[in-house]
Amino acid sequence: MTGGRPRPPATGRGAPAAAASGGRVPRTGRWLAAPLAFWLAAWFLLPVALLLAESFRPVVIGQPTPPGLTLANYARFLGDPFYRGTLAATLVLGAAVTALALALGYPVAYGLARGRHRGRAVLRLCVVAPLLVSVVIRTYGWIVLLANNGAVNQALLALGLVDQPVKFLFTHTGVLIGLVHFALPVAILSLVGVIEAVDRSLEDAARGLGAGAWRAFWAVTFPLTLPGVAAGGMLIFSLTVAAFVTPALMGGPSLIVLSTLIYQQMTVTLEWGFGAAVATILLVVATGLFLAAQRGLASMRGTGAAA
Amino acid sequence: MERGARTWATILTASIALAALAGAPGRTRPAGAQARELVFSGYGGDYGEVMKKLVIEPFERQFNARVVYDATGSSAQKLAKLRATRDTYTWDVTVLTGYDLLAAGREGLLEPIGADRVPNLPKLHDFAQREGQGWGPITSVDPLVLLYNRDRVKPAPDSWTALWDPKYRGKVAVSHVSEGKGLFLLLVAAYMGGGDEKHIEPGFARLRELVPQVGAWLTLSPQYVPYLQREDVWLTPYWNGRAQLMIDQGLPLGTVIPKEGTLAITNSFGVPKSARQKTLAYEFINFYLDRTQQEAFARKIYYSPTNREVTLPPEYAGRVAVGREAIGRLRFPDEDYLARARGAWVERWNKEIYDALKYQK
Amino acid sequence: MSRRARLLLAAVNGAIYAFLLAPILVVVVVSFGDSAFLQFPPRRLSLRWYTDLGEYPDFVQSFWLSLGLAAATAAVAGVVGTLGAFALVRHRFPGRRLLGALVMAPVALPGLVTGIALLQFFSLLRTEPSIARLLAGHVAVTVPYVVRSVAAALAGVDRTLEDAARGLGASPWTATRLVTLPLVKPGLVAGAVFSFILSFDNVAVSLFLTTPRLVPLPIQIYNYVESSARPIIASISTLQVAIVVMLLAIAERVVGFSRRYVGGVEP
Repeated sequence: MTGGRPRPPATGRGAPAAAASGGRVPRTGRWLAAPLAFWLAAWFLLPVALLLAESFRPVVIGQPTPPGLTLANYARFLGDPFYRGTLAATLVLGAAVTALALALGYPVAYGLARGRHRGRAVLRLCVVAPLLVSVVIRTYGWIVLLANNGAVNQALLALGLVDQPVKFLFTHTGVLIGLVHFALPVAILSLVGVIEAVDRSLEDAARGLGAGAWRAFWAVTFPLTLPGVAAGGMLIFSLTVAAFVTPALMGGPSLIVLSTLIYQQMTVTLEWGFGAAVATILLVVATGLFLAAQRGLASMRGTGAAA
Repeated sequence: MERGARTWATILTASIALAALAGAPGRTRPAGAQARELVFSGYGGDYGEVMKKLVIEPFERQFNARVVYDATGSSAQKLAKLRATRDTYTWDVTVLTGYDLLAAGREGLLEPIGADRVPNLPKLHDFAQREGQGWGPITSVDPLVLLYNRDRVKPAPDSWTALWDPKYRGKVAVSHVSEGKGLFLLLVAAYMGGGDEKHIEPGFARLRELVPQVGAWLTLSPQYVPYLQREDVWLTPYWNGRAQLMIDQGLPLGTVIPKEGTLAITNSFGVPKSARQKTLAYEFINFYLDRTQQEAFARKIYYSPTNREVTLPPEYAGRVAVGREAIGRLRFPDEDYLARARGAWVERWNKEIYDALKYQK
Repeated sequence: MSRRARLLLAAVNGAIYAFLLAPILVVVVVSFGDSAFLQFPPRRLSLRWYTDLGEYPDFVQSFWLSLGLAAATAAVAGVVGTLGAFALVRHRFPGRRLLGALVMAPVALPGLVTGIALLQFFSLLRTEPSIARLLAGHVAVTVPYVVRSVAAALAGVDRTLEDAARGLGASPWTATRLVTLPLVKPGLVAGAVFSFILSFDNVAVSLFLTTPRLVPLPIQIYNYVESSARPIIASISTLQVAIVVMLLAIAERVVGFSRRYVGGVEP
């Protein structure tokens, strides 16, 4: 292969090509994967499978569980419109937070990736700082800002933008704010790497051909970052559907998500069978969506990459 | 790259060393470990401070033992831990709310405790001895009171109906039913409507009517303080013990046991079947039930003692229920029933309050 | 980029940074308050919640534990995750699809389920509680971030560079070490930083794996806050952020997080 146009990124399917270009030890793959596979199997899959297996056992309060398997816990969830609605609400919330976090995170990531070196380090640390504070304390900060007589409402009233305090807390809005705030740093740090990876010379080439900065970005850089954006989005979606402290503290009973239900069942009512069923449903749906998205991404790229 | 690799290696080694070091101080025991060691699971914050100073330190001296204090988790979380660790050792003795203790006992997680193991048992009020169930004596009780902002709620309220008063719309705070305060509010509402824990319908009806009044749905206890302090919340049902502490700390609050009466929650100590120092654990419970400790606890964090012999000076009279009469005015719901019914109530609360909120908009 | 575009971008970014930092700034300001309660804005300023820290040795000990644990988590997850990412992106092996699908699962499951599951599991194994439990759990829930980060970076690496090195006679390992690894470094570093932060801040999983002697800082705060709401937690949080940020800044200098990655060649 002569110099000039770079080859498309390496893929798993390209492994035979790798063999052609020098010969990897044919079974390197399984050795490299082994630590990860072991760690996940031993300290996640097996313990979680054992716990989620409870979902097939009947729920009886106040006595040790009788023997026998049942699908009653799943039926209880899937047969109840309220619970189905909770599943839908969880997914919708996940999608909303993902979209917002990516949309807001992109400009910041762009600034960090393409900006001048000097301020970058500090800004990066600013991005990371919010995650360092415990969620309970962060929420206290939100109470101060978003309560009916909080700083934001006082400012809005003083500026005459509203004539009554806006209710932020204990609404869907509050939950969105809290979750986007948590997801943003994740989005930003993800996207910085993605944007940095785009060859600047391509954008410069477009500019050289007469395109404006905006056009060059939109037509050249942005599409190249899309796979990375999508991958980051899947990560944010997963972590949003698993969140339970923020929805509880910022939303109260106005928005019930699956994690709230799971928390109630696992630590309050102790109906572990039901809680495990809800957790399993969450896991299956989230992983299913993740797989579907991955497949969609792969076909988009047309190369079958697994990233 | 060589430099980079070395840097990484250094960071890796340093971090592993740090982790090892960090873990070490917590685990190496000083010499003289002949003293027996008891692991006690309690709560953090003020409760923990008082526990350590007024109960644990004297206990350690008197019994030549070491007590290791685990402050992690609410009663419900401790119960979940007990269940997850079933036969393996976690604690020697743990504090648990009454209905959690009963749930744990019924699942076979706790040792039964009678007067043979805790000689102070007969000194307690009758209800506190847990006749027939006996997985742990009731060590203190705490009534649900109406907590209000003295400057904003005038005249001082004397009835639970103040919560429903349209004057205070948006200034009421309510807990989820999965939390003690929320559960007991539901019960109080049921009692007010002529029902009780076994006839809970009136409770749900009145709670639905309360929804428009609520400005804050609070899940964690510590959330209350900022809301009360910033006057976002003027009225809320609250546990007497903690309420008195807040008043001591300077918040302009008042408490009242409304004229309709109120219910009280109970705290117990239980000894897991997997405990290692069972004898010492029973001695610890017995020690806590001693008059001195019970009185100290009542004075410092306003938990009502269950030892009949405790008396307090008159200035405490309005602040903590002590003695047969005052405690007699409190009602105690059937905690065994609570432990079993709670699951259904949580589900119902989720649905009904969610509906009520939706239609409110 | 045109001046107008740059200003617009700066304005938008400024607003977003403000959003990110707002609640934290509230906490920092509150920590300098004088009252016995969390108060914003504080009536009077004082350092008492910093000078009083000596009375809370538990918090200090927890801080060091969390720091060490987070560093160890980042290190282990960094190694395990990078190896796994290479395997998933570059190689074929039986179960590759399955592993790729399951890697994200720890993120999608609420931490408390993982925590309870691990506690139950360790109980069944009859192991003695130790920091290893916390490490196992923290790595399990943060390694997906490392894998994703490294895999994304790896997918963007130009193979021709590595092939060129091989063509010049380098062994596969040398080519990887001298060419590929530096190119995925930004991804590895981002993943490791995530891992560090998420471990440092972890409540849900840690809640069930703590023992009386091993209490990470977030749990210590959570325990304290259950019964009391004094500004000591504001000062602890502020210090926590300040110290970790300082450490990250130092690490950045040493390792160079913001090294520019231009067209596959490091400047």
